[in-house]
Amino acid sequence: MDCRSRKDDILQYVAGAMEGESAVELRQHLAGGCPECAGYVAEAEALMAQLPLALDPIAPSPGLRQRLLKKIVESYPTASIPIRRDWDRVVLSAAVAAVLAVSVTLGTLWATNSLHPRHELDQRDFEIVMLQETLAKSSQRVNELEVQLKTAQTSLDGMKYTQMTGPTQPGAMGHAFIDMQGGKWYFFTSGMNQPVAGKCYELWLISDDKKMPAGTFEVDTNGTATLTGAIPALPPGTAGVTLAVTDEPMGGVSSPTGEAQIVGKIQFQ
Amino acid sequence: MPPEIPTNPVDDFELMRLIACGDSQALAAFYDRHGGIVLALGVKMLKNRAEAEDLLVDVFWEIWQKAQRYDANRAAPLTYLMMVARSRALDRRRAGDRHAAPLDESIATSQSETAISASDPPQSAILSERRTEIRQAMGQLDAAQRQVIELSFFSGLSHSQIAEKLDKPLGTIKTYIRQGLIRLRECLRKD
Repeated sequence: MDCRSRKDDILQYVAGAMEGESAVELRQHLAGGCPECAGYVAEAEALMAQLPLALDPIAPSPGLRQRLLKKIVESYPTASIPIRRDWDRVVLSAAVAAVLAVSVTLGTLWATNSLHPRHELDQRDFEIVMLQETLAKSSQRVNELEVQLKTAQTSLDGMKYTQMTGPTQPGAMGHAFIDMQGGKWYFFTSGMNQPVAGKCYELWLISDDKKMPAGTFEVDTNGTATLTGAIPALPPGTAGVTLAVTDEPMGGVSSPTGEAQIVGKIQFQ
Repeated sequence: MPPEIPTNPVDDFELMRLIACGDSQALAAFYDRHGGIVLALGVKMLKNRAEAEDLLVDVFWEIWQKAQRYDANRAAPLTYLMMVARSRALDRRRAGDRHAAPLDESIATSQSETAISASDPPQSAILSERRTEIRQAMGQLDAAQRQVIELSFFSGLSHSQIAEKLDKPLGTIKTYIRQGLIRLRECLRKD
């Protein structure tokens, strides 16, 4: 069947008004990736989406906006994500490296696109150049991280993970892994702003209100940085730790003074 | 010299881009601009204001959570928003196991308060004009075509259910829907 003759059928299908064998046949055809029919689908969807615009809008109750924004503010993830027991060590190491590599690529690409003006280059050319640069840097970082991970005493039972985010830097994303059995932690971040002059970032491990400095770092032009270290001695029965990044005077401090930039929480149970 | 009409520097595409970057203020602006029509759609489909308000929050929450999946090349932001809103409304209907209720315009009209976006007059004017165009296009349809399209779109009824409700043959209903949609497409394309 000529795809042009499907145009009216597609309109009926998108409107949810096609059933039976006709719908099955059309769905299979669309699943095959026909570009012409995909265009007809987009046209039909745009048409159907206009029907509600005929309605008179209704002013939402004032509290709904606040409810939505409160949900967003509370949505920054703090829960831990334990690694599944049935992954083997190779898959786990590769998965960790893959997550970090993808995060580097995405974080670098996003940060770069946010920092550099786009109007001078064709959008596609710009993205290609940035991706090539990012891939080269990411490859090197992945190699470095793989060396670190391979030397870690990694076990499935002991590895915990959390994402780290915060309203102060909405574009930043941190990743923290704690290897309980190996006694090491790994931290990676991307999309962070450059600290103000004279300051650096400092990572903290917080347990039972005790704030332990875990190292200072500066971010590169793409807002990325990595740190690793040994897990400090924790009191028996410690349920978890909070990881936080603050901005501090260059060289770091023994107790946090700056504003929390990104935060995450790892539960051990 | 007449006062200049302030132009809105941020269109829907830019708002979606900012939302994907985690800008909650952009989401708030998108909500302010289009929340009224999403709520109207929810009231129309769910026949219950409280449920429609829950739907409103859920829809914009989903927009927030999945903003990075939005593809500007595939659909305009408002098209995407309406598709999400309708899908979630249909999900709620199915979950609530509602049966088709007669279209009761009084529910919407009695609660209808024109959602004037005082901070966004240009967008309000654009949407108002679009509303008029679509109503005119719907007005071009036969009454029967318009009725079955509304039942199909806003109530999510199958052909069989519509046929039963209107006491008409199934083939007739299918013809009404198909011809009505084609006519609607022609009318809106002319605009």
